[in-house]
Amino acid sequence: MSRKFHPSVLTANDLPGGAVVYLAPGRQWVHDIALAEILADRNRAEALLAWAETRTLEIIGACLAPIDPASHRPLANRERIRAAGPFSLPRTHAGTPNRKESRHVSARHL
Amino acid sequence: MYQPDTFDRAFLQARTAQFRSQVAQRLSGALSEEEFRPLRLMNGLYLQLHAYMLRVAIPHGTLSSAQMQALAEVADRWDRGHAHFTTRQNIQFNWIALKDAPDILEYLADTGLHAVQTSGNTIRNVTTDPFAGAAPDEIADPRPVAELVRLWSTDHPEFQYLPRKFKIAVSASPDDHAITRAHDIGLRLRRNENGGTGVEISVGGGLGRTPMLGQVLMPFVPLADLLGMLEAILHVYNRLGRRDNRYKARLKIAVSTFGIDRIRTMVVERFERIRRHHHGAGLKVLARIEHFFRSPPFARKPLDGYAAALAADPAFARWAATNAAAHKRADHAIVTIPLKAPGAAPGDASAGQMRLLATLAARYSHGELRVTQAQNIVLPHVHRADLPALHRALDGAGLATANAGLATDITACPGLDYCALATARSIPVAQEIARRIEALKIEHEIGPIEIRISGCINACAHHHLGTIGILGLERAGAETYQITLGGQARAPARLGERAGPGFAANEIVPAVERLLKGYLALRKSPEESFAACLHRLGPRPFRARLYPDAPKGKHPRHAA
Repeated sequence: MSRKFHPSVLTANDLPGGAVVYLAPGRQWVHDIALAEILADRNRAEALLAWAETRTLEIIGACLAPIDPASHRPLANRERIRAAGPFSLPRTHAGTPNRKESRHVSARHL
Repeated sequence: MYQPDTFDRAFLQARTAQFRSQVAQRLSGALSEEEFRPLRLMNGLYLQLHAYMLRVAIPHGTLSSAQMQALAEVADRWDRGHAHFTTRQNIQFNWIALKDAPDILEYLADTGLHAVQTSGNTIRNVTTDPFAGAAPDEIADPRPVAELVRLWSTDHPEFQYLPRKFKIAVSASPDDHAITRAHDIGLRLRRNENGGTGVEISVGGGLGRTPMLGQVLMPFVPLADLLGMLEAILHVYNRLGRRDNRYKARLKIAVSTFGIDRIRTMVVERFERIRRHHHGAGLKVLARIEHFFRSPPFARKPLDGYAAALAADPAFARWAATNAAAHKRADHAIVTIPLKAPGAAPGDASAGQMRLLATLAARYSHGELRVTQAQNIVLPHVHRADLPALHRALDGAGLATANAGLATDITACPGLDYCALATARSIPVAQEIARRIEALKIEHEIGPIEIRISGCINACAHHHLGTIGILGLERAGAETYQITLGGQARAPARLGERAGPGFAANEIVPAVERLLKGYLALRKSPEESFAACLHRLGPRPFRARLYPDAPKGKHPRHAA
């Protein structure tokens, strides 16, 4: 018997740049997980995954990432970090994070 | 420093052009990802969680100021303004686009840097002692031998598709800063009774999921036979290595399975067959290489200002005592610059910091820098008269933390923040531990200790060799951290032993704090180091501190 299916988003890395991407409605690749289509139906999710695996000039490593539909938050730690970016970006010696997407979260907060 | 010749330059240019063509073919669809993946890995390009990562080799851990400037330029122009120095004397750029990789490699090739064999099942970057050429206790500078091995192994046709990756380290000092026993092949320079130079060869070291220390295969091999012996060892490994199981494919498994004596017999048998073709091979090249590693012209300067600064400036005095090691010349020092300010990501440097380090190396260390296995930078030849000025310059850039070899000088792999193989985060744990120790103000009281944190079983931070080792794993969807105690990287290398059940992410920092405070209570004097105290008492009293709630006399070992 197959395992229970969780609502998921379809994710991959952009081929030329390597950035994390998600499949949004209309089969568009987006960077923000909040814009990703939540796939609640197993058959549709697997069909889209099969389609994504043919997009070899656009993306690499397509997979389904189970999420909490209410929060749009991935269930797996690894996918949470892929969605949010690294928790540990270096600071410049002036003491400020050196890019806008940096997010410092201490070990006790996960 | 080694200077690439016309052959080296032509090789790098051809290799870069070849990779540019391969990338173009991948982007056009002429190559599938399955076909392209091994090609990009051969050129050091991984796909990690957030982007491609480019690993550039720093052969024998030595950089010129110009090379450090070039690496800073890559960080600024193609990455996000920073880079990460690794435990195997490499540098990694974490935000690289595939389409940019050929341009980066072409740019780096102009300064002799490359990413060849920084990944894949080949002989990886040959590492050595970051204090080489400056250490007072070495019998010779190990870098010429390391460079010879690098030249021999680069693009070696027989060893491009080994059963698994293969690591070689070279050392020449009794302390073994290169951690040779943790490598597939460890080479330690030796002198025989006639004063001749040769190498002791150990084989079968490696950490990862099956940690083992290398065993001595040959106690002394003359340099004339070194390349022949390496050929023989690699040939035997190529035949014996398990290609059917990547987890059992390293040389250490073959050594463990067949035994060191049988491996030795096979190696000698092969060596005798090829000896006449190889005897003396490389000696002429070695003589040429040695020319590049001659000592720089050391200056003579009065030391009055240095002595006055030591007396007048406690912060400088503490930095000098902690970060400036003895040099083979008494009026010079080997300066370690930790990339470990408390709260910083271990091993990370901004492009600005890298440029400053390059400038300071040019001004104070004959244009030379080293990268250490502890993810720090070393200026190997600093006159002690220049130490006060160097300290001031570093202090202004947040690089003067006086913690080399202390508890906040934590070695950590990129972990789950970046790495596709990781199972838990390591950098945030290192940051939290360092912040806590800084807040407690106990670092200098604790003294020398190595804390090492790996984010998965592959052990890139060499946690088995930490006085306190931490291994991050995932258990039932949550990060769990196991502690090992009593490892040691320097000779005699020792593997730590697991202390007991793992700790949740929010428990690991207090657990380390209990260990450190426990040591302060248990030591017989301030001169007894954490490692010595642990060795004297055994792990039991330390386990009692780690697991205070365990039933008395029943401290858990391997449960959960």
